[in-house]
Amino acid sequence: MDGGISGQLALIIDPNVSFAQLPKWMRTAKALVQTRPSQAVRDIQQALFSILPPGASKPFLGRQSEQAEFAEALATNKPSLFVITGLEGIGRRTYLERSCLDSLGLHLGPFFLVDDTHAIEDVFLNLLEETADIGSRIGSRFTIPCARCKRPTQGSIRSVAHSLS
Amino acid sequence: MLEDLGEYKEIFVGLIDEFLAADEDHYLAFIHRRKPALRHLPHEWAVLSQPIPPLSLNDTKLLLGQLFRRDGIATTATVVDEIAPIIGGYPPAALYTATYSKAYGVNCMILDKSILADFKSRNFSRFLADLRLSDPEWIVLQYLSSEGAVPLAAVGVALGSGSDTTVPIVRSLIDRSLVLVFNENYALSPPIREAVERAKGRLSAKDYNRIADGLTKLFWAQDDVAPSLQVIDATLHAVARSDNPSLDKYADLVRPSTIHRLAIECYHHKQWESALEYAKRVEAMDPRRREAWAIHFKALVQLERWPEAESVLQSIEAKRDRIAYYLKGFMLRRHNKHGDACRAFESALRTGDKANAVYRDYADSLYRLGNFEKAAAMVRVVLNRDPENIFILDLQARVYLDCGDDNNAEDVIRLLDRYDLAKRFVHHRKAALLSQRGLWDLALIEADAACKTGLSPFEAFAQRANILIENGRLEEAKSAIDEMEKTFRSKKGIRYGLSCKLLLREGRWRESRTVWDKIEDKDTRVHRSILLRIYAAMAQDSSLSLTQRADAQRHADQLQNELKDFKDTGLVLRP
Repeated sequence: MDGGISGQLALIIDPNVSFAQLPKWMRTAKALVQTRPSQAVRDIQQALFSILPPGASKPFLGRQSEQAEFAEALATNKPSLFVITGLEGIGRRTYLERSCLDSLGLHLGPFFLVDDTHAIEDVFLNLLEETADIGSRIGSRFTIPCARCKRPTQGSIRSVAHSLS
Repeated sequence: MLEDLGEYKEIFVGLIDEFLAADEDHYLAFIHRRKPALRHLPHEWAVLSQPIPPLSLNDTKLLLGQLFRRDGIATTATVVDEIAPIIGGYPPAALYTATYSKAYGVNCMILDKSILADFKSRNFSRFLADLRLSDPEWIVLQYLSSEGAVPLAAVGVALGSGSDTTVPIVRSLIDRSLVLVFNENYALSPPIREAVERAKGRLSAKDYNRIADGLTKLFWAQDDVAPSLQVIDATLHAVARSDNPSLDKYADLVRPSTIHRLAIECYHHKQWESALEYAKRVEAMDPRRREAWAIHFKALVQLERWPEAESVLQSIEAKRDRIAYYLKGFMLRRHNKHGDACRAFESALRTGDKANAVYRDYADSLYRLGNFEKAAAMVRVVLNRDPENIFILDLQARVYLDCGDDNNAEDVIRLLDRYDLAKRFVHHRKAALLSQRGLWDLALIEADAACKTGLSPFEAFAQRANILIENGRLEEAKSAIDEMEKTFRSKKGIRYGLSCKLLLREGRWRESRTVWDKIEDKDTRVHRSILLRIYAAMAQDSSLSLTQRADAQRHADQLQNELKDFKDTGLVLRP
């Protein structure tokens, strides 16, 4: 670690492992317990973006009036559902990303695409995959109601997919 | 997520309601193309709705300046001032302007602003063609154009390469803003997706055999560990597109949305039987999906299974869904009952069903009824929404050609030349235009090119035979007609029409009349016009008695009178 590496990010994916159990060389790193794969990816991306040189990230221009409206609405109505509309490619997600960061101090969380073929079950499955931890891909870690019989169903993503099919 | 009138579907209203009632420090965001109606939401006050408009001119200039600097392109404020207004505040247009300028120089772009106009109207086919992508880069784009978002390893499987080869290719596509990264997955940027499909089509079943095998080996090694949803979808999709589309092995993972997507794809690829099977499976899994009803019905119509189609239509009508009007028109159009079809399409539009398909099929029926003006108006509605849709551009070219408006036809064919990268229609229509102008040698060159694309419809082959007849190359014309008989057995009408014309040119009106008698649809103007020529030939035949010749002349005059309202362009070939 003497070769000039200026920062490290350690992700602890097993909740039974404590910071003290990390190898000595890793204890100087920023360490996060993160058992959700998608969130872990976002943590890595955010860490990488934070060390990008100025100007290397996506350009973001204009939208001052929309951002002002966003901030004002947060201060007055305290909305918790944002509905952003516009042409594909016009910069809707970039705008939301920037507004949430500037006004709420939040990075965008999990997101997924919903097209004409998707139903509510697909949204739940995507949410489940985003929020389920690494172990759930193997073991039985969560319970959701079966779409057919409405009884609680336990199991992995494979069995949940079955209950929805 | 939205109903036809823009309201959230009930189940999503429930989800939103539950979320908003929770009063926690959590936020939910929906990003839509269309502004949803929010009035009916129980907690409307807790919703912030914001439209994101195109960038202002000044912001566009700043964005262009930044992008040019980022890509190391030397430019001046004057150049930026000249380009910015054409971009229309659409950020991808600015992005692709910088990419294009990097490849060809900014001066090249200034001299030919048509590419900028393409960007402004969100047309990216020519841009892709001009980028001169490598074969592996095209494979990645073709694969991603059929997928949602897939992990890098799946892209590697599609490419048949390891990560050391895949990563530089994907990175180069990301650098050119063609591929986007969604979390840990890769997808095509929305404006590019359709352009790729239009340019190169999709991967073959053989490619999907390889991809299905590769994904199964890579991600499905452990029985008790399911891969991510993206990999599940990519695998099921690859299996379904392969030569052995059995999903039994993955039965416990099949979701209605996966099958629904396959039904849509098969329908678009004219695999009617498969589309029908998938649509039926979707309906069995989730009877609420009205789009699946439509595919079910349309596949039956395409298969000409009329009683079943009518029964499905009745069940849709019983549900009082407005889609029934369009579907009824769709079936009537296939029955060549274009007047009735037009009435059904008008009803669909009156109920607020303003889908492109309604306008497109309505335009086609109007065209076939000879109502060119109204057909052109309907075509314009679709083109305003989807300016590089080659199917609708082709229809527009047909409309102009048939109403004798050569100048407008030429303009539309020029657009086809730009967007029809696979040359599915453009050579065929150029041949038609040149035929109309009597330039038979040039028309034959285009007709030959049309037949060689492997994508052209029957009409392209028929047109080539017609040009050969007009050009006096009768032996070649005969071979072309014989060849058509082998390849397009069901298209008897036009083939008989061409044979009649050929026999007339050979001076054999008797044989021509025998063939004409076999034509089923004798009332079309093309076939009436051929009959006129047969009578005209009879009237000139000195081997006939004077009474027979006078009788033939009388018939010819009668037909001439009947056809005088039509513009006779030799043999008008309608698809």
